[in-house]
Amino acid sequence: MTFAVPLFLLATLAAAIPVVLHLVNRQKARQLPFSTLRFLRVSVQKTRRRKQVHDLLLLVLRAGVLVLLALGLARPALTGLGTLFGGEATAVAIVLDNSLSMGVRTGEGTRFDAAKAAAIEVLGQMREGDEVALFLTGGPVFPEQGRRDRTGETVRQMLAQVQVSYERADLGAALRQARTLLAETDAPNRRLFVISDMQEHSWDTLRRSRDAAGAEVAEDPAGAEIPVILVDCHGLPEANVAVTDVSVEAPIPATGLPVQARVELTNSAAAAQRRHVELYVNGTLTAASPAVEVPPQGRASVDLSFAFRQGGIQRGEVRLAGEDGSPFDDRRFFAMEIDRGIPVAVVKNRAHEIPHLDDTFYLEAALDPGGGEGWAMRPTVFSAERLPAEPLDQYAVIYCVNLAAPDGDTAERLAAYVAGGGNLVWIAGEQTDPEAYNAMDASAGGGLLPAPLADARTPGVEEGRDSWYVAALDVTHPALGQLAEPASLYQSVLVYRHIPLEAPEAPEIRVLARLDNGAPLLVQRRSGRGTTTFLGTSVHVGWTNLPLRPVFLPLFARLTFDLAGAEQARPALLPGAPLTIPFAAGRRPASVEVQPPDGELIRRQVAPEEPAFQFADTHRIGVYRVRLIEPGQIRAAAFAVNFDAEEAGDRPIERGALEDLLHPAPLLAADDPRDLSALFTGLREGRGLWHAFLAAVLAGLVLEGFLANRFTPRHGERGATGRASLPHGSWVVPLPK
Amino acid sequence: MPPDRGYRYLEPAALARVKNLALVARGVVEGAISGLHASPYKGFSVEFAEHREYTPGDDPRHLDYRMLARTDRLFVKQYEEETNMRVQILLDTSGSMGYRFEEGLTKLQYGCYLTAVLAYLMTRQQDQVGLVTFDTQVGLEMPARTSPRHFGEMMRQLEAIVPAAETDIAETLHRLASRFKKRCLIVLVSDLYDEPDELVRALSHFRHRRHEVIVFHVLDPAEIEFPFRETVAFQDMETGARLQVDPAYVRAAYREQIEAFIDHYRRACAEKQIDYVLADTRVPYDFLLSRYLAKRSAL
Repeated sequence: MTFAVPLFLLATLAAAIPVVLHLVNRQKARQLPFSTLRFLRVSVQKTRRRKQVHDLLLLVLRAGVLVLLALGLARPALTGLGTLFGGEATAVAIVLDNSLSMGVRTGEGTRFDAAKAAAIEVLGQMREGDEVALFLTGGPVFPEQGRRDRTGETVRQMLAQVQVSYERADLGAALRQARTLLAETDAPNRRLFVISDMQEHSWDTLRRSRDAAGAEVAEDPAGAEIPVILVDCHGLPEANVAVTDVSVEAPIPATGLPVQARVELTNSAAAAQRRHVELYVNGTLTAASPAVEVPPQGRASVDLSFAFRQGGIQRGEVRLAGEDGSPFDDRRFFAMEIDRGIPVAVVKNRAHEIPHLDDTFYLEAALDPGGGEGWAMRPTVFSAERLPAEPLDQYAVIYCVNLAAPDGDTAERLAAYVAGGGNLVWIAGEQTDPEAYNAMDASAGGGLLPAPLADARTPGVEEGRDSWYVAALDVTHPALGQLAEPASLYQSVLVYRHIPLEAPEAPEIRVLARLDNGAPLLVQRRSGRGTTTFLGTSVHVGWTNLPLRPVFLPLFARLTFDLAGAEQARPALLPGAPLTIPFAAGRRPASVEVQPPDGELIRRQVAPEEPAFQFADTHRIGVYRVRLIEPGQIRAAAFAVNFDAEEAGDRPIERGALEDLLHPAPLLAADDPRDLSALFTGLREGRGLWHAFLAAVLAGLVLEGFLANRFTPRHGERGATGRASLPHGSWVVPLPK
Repeated sequence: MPPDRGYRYLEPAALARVKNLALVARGVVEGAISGLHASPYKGFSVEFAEHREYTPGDDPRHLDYRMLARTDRLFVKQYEEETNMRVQILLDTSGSMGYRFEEGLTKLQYGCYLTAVLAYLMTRQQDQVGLVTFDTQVGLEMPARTSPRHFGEMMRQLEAIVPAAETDIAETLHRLASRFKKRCLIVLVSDLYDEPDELVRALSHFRHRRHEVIVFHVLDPAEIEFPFRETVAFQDMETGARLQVDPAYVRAAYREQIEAFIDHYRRACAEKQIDYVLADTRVPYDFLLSRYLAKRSAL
């Protein structure tokens, strides 16, 4: 504690005044003759203790009031934080929150504007010998960031360039870095400014580390005692609605097919907000919603339906129309790869002169219903003779329709294709010889068939029927789930002849369809990295009516999409988080090209030993396109980077919780970042206590008056004594009127 | 019997207020001459008392012939003899009697006025009045007489009285009680600042010797109400001892003490059939006396 006018401390001697007055008055007591002291002696004896207590209490109170008055006039101040930029050299670290929530407008600009102004004000307090360092919570890292600056000029330049980032604030991490830096300095005074809107989630890492370490500040005990000065930029935010989530569902991610985007809006304002949502694909407005009412401090969802017009990687963006408190959280991106066509091979025994009698006539129609561009699959039909020489890897799915069992070499090629991730589908027919197939599978090591085949069956006369029907589908299979209802969809499929499989119970084997006699009709098995599937009947009308049923086309389309893995979702990233693409064994690209949202292409050569490609500069939100350039092949991918939804919320941390988190550091807070003069005065002179002292003086005076009045018996009181209660029955003569 | 000259303690206005009153003995007194008060000696006065059988030598004028006619026996009538009263006024002249708080009479002056008026009344109704002043011992002692000269001497002696030092009332009263042989009316004028039990025993001594006793307890209003405000160093008027007191603190306790003190005497006097009169010196003595005498005569 210090005193601005220490001369007044001499006035504390005034505490002796009540004692002196007491002694003087004692000697000056008026002398009076009295008839007898016998009653007075007893009375004094009775009241002596009470009077002594009262006198002592009043004496202490009066002396205390005088002492407090003297101390108050000396203008006391708490100086636990010492002085700022004055006297001895001071090292200051400024942790500046430039997370997305700092972009919210608070009337006279954004929170970040106020934060920068506060940081510049802090710089303005620098004196020769002081040093300052700036720490940012997000955005591109400046080379000088986190380094000591003796003039403040470098920090000033950084402040001129730094902008609100789309990233989530991690004040705990920034605080740790700043404390480490300050702990290393030799400056006698060290100060740590945290300029932020104090959102609760910004302190998550610090909270977690403290929870993990109990009450100890284990990670940085050297800097834990450095005073922390909080500059709260939260202010009064304008009404704001954010796009906090977009989920795109595309059952078949192919051009022309319907896609649904569910958009979640979050309102951080105290009043309901009505907003329109727009959806852009590759920069073109594709869908828009009617006005959506978002409840106060609540959320609302809206569904937008649209279709992609072209294949390849699509850049989607959901955007809020109009303006609100923050433009930074009004957009959200997604990326999808829409197939131009899944490469599918259809291998048939031989072409029939009459097309519709061809074994693959219906299958080709199902795989390419449009017969041209714009569809999700590109089937290639060729005969079995080409099979030994055809590059099988270029096909995602190979349908082998009514083939005689391939020879050993071809079977080995097919087995290698499946083991490498290919998807082989066998479709039975007249040429399918179960025995030869089983032998082929055995010669290939067992990876070509999902299960051994049995002899072909036709309903016998003894069974009293001429066909079976499909009685059950494995609706848990992703390709068949949407074909489960109505049941007539598949139960209307009749089978006149089929080749049953002896499918054992095994985790890698799934029976996708069964006939009503219980025989497996469609069986799939994972084999190596690929799959092998066997349909026990034909895809022509000779053995079944399947090609003529409505389920035929979606069954093969979905089966193909599922096998090709076309519905795989594209990962989404947070700003600032590194983008990592692991390389498959033997498929390391020579170089990688990244195209960030701003369009500037970045190419990087891949070192031979690099297991994955990493790209760290993801500070901007949007769609990042990546091209893995391999010899003779280019693989493309895209990733959407979106802000953390928590940044769009508005939940400032409680001061008490913050004190607990920063304990044992002394805390000082400024609630108005635009006026730090009181803060600086407080830092230089300490926290003024004189008004508290003078208030205590007033309270003491009031208390003294009250106690003095209460302790002193009334002059005129009679109580149980006095004339009014003089004994009755005696000759007491009243005063004459 | 109007005073032939002006006495300090005999004010005409006061006398005018009390001149028509009489202090009558409640019991019987042994007087030498006929007067207002009943005598224990039966004689032949106007008030019939009883019959007694005739014995030779009795005055035949007192024979009751009606009784003779009814009973055929000789009886003589006996009458109550009215006599004069012997009054002894005992005046406390101790130091504490010299107290007064503000303007007004000291307790001793008040007592002197009371004594003078009482003596005047007694003398006027042919009673014998004596005066004894005392502090630690008996000072002035004037025997009971009824002559105007005696009354004048008493007034002069009263004017010469000054408060003495300490007091020992009980012991003095015991000595006086032993000394008064004939039954009389004892009027004690004092502030009674002594051990109450001892003093009551001394008063009982008078009653034991069949004296009638009236106590005028003279107190200054300041002694009853203790009206002091500022811190005061009180000095005992008898012993000279000092005691500094904050009146605000001790007032209640003091009043409790003085009330208990007064109440003690009141109860004790009531038990011993002694008239107790609290004489507040604010109350004019003639007013106090006239009210007391009026009430006493009404009983």
